Amino acid sequence: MELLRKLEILADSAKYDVACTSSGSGRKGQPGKIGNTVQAGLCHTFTADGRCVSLLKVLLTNICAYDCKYCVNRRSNDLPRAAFTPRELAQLTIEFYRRNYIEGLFLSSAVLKNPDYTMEQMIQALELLRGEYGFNGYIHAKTIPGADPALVRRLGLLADRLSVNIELPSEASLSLLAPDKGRKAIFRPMGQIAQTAQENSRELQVYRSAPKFAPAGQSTQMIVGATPETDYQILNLTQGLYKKYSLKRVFFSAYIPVVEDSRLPALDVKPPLLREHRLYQADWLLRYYQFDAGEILDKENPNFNPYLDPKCNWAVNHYHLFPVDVNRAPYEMLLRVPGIGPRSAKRIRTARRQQSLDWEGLRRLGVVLKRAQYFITCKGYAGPHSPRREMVVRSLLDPKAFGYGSYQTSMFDNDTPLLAEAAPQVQQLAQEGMAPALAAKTVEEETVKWLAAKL
Amino acid sequence: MAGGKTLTPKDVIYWYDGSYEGFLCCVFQCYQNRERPCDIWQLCRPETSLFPQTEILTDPVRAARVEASIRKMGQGVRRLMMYGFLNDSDGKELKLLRFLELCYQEGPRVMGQLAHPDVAAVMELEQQVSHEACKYREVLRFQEREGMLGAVIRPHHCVLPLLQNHFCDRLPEEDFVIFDNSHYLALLKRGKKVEYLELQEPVILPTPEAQEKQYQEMWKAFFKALTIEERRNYALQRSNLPKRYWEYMVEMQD
Ligand code: SF4
Repeated sequence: MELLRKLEILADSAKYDVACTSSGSGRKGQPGKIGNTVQAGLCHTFTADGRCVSLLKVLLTNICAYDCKYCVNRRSNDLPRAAFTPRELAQLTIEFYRRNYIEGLFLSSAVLKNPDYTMEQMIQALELLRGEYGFNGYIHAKTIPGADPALVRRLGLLADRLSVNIELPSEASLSLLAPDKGRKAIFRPMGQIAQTAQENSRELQVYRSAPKFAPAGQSTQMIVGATPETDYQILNLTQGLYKKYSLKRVFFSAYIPVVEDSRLPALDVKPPLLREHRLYQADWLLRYYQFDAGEILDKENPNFNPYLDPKCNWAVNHYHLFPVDVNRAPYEMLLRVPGIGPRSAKRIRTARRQQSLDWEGLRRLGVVLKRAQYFITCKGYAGPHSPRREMVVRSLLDPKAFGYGSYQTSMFDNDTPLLAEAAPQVQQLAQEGMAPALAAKTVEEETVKWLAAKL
Repeated sequence: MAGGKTLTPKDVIYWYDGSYEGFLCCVFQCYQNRERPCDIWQLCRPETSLFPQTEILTDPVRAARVEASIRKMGQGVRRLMMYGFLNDSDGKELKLLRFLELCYQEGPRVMGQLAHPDVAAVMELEQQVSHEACKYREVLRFQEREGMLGAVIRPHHCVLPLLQNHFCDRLPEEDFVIFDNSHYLALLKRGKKVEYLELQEPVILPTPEAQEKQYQEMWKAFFKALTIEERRNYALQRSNLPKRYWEYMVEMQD
């Protein structure tokens, strides 16, 4: 088969894996080799669906011995199949890398024959790339559930980042939809990777030249919307994973129906993109905003508010704590002000040491005041003068939920199609025949009333 | 440099050769005359001005003295000055001068005065440049011709010096050249040697050779295969990657 055709097939099969980042590893170049890595990662391009492309993301092969129900590559699906040879893959990586198309390789694979055999093939490809081809750029490798721990270890010594996909957010769903992969097969390597990484960092303190094991840590991914778990369950699981396995990232992927199966959502169900988006926002709150999962959702409110990002939702529910004085409020509280992110909060913290901040000063720091104005006071500004609740609420709404991105509903004419992320209620009205703009406006007005009453 | 001395505004325009050294000599002149000109230009524009113009000659000795005074202020200040200078917007010289005045008065602690208008203005200059340089580390595309890599960019700001380390570190065994079609400047790396060349006119890369063409086709095929149809979202694509960067990106041409 022609290489171009193989690449098409094996990229197409890998595209549902969302973790295309090259972050977490900062390594200088070396004479005689090719490549370095950048701590924050680089995004070389964006596809027509708006997702970042950082790595050559392919499967080694999509020929699979397993039959996971939610997966396009499952054994029982009729689909063109292909496999790279290790040399083809190494060559392609180098040639793409030289041209600055990519930061490196993201290699995963379907289960060819059995997990160990597959892992050996992957290791062979990476050894060739790191050895003979002298590749010093980024490699993310996905371990195959059920493979021998010794192979996981070898893979980790070649890769910057390892991942084990937990696939579905609960054990029940897993045994229902991925009968070939046990829960053990997923969590055992995760535990092994976490432990080996810890030992390795101790080793590196003693011997600086010890080989590095997955210096960019491990990540995982789960499919959202194929099974009945609530957002609260998913978020709790996520927090647990960060704590227990010191994961660097947890990725979520909105389920896109690929198969007719009574255990799965019907083929015409749209992927829950807004929900996925909210999960990522909540994930940020866990990682960078010092939130706890229990503050974002709870048993009584187990699902996200579709119309507000989780931080604004928290602010609405804790309106009595505001406004806060930016010149005095602790850093943790600054982070909770709608419109103020870690970057602004840090700048405020630095700047206020030398001078008391006023409105203009905040603006010059680059603080976005559109939302924050209702939640802060500063020098010469005693907070909003009895603002109308509707106005406060309106400033917080997430325009995405109404299907018009960053535009105002008023600028949104009747023929503009809705964004795929529009809230389900907006989508439904539109489907029932209401003009999209009117549907958005109607839901927006209802939401404003409902939220204003909550303040 | 002249510690507490202050500058008085004066209706005069300086012009210099556009180099960083040249600009530092403008600063020297300001402190020698204790004046702050109403504008600093990169070229003489006689017909457009109401005010008298003074040509500032570039003198390496004077430039070095100013540079030493900046160095004393710490890495942060030095970086802001150099990156800020690479910004290509009008009026950058006056902003940098104002900032430096404040530095001479306040010392290194200016770096904490993020909300001061003169500091904020220069930080903005620096951020625009850094942001664009970052973007070009990502979207620049090389093509190979006779074993050498070549790329063209068309940035708002003069980002080549900020690409140098990144690509030299990354591709130590390659020879490459990056052409900046906005500033008519090229960065050439051969072996261990790096040099900057001035261009007479914009560069157009020749049509790719057969093998190069093959890799370009494979990259395009890969790029297309990655798109998930059910998630198609051009608005998001464009907000993540504004159209002005597409010009030389292989995968964005059909
Ligand atoms: S093992 Fe992987 S590739 Fe094979 S069917 Fe399951 S999820 Fe798909």
